[in-house]
Amino acid sequence: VNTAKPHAAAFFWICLAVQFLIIGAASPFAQSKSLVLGTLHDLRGSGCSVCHNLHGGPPVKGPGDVCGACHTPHRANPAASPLLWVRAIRPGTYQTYDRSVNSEFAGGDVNLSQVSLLCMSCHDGAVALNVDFTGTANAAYVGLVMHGSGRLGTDLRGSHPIGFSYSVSQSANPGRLATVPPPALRLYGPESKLECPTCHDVHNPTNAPFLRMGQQNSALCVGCHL
Amino acid sequence: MAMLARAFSVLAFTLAAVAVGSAAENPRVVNVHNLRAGPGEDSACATCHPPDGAPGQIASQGSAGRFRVFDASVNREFRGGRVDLSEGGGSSLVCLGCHDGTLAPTAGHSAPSGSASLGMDLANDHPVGFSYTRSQIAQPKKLNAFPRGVKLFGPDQRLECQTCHDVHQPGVRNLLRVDTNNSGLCLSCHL
Repeated sequence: VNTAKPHAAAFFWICLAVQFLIIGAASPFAQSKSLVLGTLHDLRGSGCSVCHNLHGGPPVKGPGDVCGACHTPHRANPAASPLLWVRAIRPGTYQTYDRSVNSEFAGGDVNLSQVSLLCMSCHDGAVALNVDFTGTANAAYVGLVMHGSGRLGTDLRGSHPIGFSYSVSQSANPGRLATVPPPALRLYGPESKLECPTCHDVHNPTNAPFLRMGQQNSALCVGCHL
Repeated sequence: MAMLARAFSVLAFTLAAVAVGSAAENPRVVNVHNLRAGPGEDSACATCHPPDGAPGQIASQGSAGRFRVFDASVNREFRGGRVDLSEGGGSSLVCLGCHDGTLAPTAGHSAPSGSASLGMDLANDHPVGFSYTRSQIAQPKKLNAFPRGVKLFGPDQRLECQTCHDVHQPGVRNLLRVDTNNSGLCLSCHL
């Protein structure tokens, strides 16, 4: 009977230690999605002040759900269901950076993957930011069309190429491109395609503008470009 | 000690009074799920729980095979394993018994329509019918090991409709367990 108590206490402390280990291990990443609160990707509210610092103050966000400007838990766009996307996507409407722009481009065929089309559903500036794929406006979010530097339009020939296979490009230019991009960057699909979220982490404003790694000494660029 | 006993009896009396009061108008069904045909019909429960049925029986329950579900075939990064709406006590099927949009209107009740009708293609809805534990272990940096305020079911902690929704909850928009302000509900799980 007397030996049972120390055992129980030891078990309790071990459980507690394991719990802290789990929480501790997760902590550098904890709540990274919540970092989107208050950023330019937080579209809650109405009017210019949702994005623009008026009189030097912080932008004024409305109440409610941040995620809902892009994602929905039910009845998402069937054409963009993997990420439960609420906006309309427009495949086939973009002019892309390919061999016709730069004859040295060796990335092969250029086709925007869905992850890039999701970004372009706002950043082509075609539809107001609060209009879903059914054409319905959501009053919880700002009802303006993307403008300024965030508006890329439909001609992407003046932007870094996306929608091509990094590995195809790399094997054609082994001396000019790193075999593997820095671990902070992401390639997509079996072809290791370079897409908008290769460089951008849309939920994390730490490295403006939503970059996956810092740009000091052009670290992001030279991570791939040798 | 006598004071403590007196305090306890006052507490017990208060709780009893509250219980009697709530029996008159059960707050658990004062919401959109109160489908009583009219004041004459006494039980709001009977629409879903037939009084002559077996304990726990639900009036209308969809069969799992009819639904297209959100799984790894929809999103390659989904790590919840096999999606089965009939496991976890079939609790999502209970909801889909009405919310698949195929239920014919009955006397006094209309079938769910508009945003309440999900249809039988659930591939564009948040995944349900999978083990949260399995998902969380596969993606510990993306999913919270200790979700807050939501409810998971069974030994493998399955995520079902009732994870986010409390169908009896009064007064909360969309019958949600966690307020969506600042995306509190989403962030309960998604890191």
